[in-house]
Amino acid sequence: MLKDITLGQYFPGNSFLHRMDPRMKLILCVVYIVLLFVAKGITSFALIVLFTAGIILASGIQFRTIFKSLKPLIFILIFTTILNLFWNAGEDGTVLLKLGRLTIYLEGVIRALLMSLRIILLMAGTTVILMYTTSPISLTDAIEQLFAPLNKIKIPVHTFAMMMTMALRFIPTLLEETQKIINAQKARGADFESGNLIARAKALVPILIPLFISQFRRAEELATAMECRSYRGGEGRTRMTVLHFSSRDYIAVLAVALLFAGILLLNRYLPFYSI
Amino acid sequence: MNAAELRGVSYVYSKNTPFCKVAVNNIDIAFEEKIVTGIIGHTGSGKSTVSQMLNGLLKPSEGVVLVEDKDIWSEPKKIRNVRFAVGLVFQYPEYQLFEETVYKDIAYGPKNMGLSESEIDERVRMAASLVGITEDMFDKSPFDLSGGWKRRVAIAGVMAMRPKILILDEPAAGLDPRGRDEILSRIVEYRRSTDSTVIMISHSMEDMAVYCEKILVMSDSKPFMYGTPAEVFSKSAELESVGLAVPQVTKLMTELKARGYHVRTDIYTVAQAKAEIARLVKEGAVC
Repeated sequence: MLKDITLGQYFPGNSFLHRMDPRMKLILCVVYIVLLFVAKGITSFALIVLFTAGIILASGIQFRTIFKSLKPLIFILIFTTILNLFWNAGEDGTVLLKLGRLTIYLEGVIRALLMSLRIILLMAGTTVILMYTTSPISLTDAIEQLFAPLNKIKIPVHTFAMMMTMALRFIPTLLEETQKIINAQKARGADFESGNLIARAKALVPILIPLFISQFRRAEELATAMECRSYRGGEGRTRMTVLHFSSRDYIAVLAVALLFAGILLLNRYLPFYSI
Repeated sequence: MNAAELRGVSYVYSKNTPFCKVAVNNIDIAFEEKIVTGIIGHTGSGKSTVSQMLNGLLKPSEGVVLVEDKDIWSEPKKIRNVRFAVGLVFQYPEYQLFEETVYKDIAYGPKNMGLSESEIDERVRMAASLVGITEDMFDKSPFDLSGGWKRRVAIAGVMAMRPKILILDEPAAGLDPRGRDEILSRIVEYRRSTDSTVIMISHSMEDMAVYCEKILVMSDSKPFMYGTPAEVFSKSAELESVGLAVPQVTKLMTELKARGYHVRTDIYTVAQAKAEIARLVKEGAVC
């Protein structure tokens, strides 16, 4: 059950996206997010949908997996849709429906749809570009290198990157361990599904206590293991894999640049119901 | 009658994802009642999956799981009752301890069963004495105990539910030799005194040979061999073909025989080997 959470999980593979330089992926991912907010009309959104579908295909990740990762968004989506549905288009809006004092405009419906689409694309695009096709290690590697200039103003970039690497590295382990403890307590008849809120919260104690204890133990063991190998932070440390930009990365830059240009053009000349 | 049975059971982990993995594939296994059955097999041979299916923690993708001739998934809402009837002790169970005192931790299972105070008390005391926990330890924190004692507390926690079938996944892993013998013999003792069935997963051929009446060898998601220790260990070539080995004493006896001593080779415990060699010495075959 916990294993089904796919958010932030790496799917090993050998696709175009998998082999891109993680630094470039990170930069392009930021550009992609900016683009989502630059896009205005139905036409520019359609272009981004096409682009996103393209990168999903290029990543070799199944659409089903992506839909599954969108599940946790359902409440935000419903909330956004309802809020935007009653958006007041003003005098020149096309009235679709009047419910007492509430009026639903065609513009409101489109706005609601586009807003939800924006959230879906934000999630789907970034997870495919960063989470699913980039291993956590290379991701933090990229972050460390992109933020390296901050070292000049005495921010310990390496330490932060190491902390992040470890946190990411242990998410699957933590989930696995949680599942194990849940199973062990279930085998002793623990009941997490029935009872009121207080009873359910209490039922979590047998999971949380062993989990905390094992995490502290793990942290201590890890720290000892690192010290045994003379870990002293980033100074003078060399890397096993040095990142290089390749033609693949320049192709990706070109694709995103074209997308950017396309959106700007569509926004300007074919804005069709812009929000 | 069989205590538990798997019929045509398959289990697939992470179905429909790139991590999809078949853990067991269309297997039929019957566990005889009122004996200690051992399951051996390589890592990933499906042993743990089988044990978790027996008490309803995993629902088979296909096939039925029968406990006392009843399909455990016929009423999915009552699956908790199956877990009380089939107690499962996981690998390294000491990591599941959470209560403030040893007593409370052992009482967690019986309490979940909804038993009366006096019944809980009786069961906790019984389980504690079965694993060798004395009353003066009841008020200690389980976290102050050593690894071996923590393990006993955790095993007692499952025994206190008095399951008709007790399954243990590597109960002796990581213990010193004396701790191993002690825990394993206490598990056998539980079986005898409560007239129940025990299924034990282990990697140690030596332990299996001493403590189990029947052995099930699993390989490649399937049962590979089943029989008494003597039957199983007499087929050393087949065992080796799936990457398992016979107990060291059996190897020793085979080697002795190869060097011309007239010894039996169907020997798989140190005690038997000792008797056999003593016989040999007495007969004067060795000088």
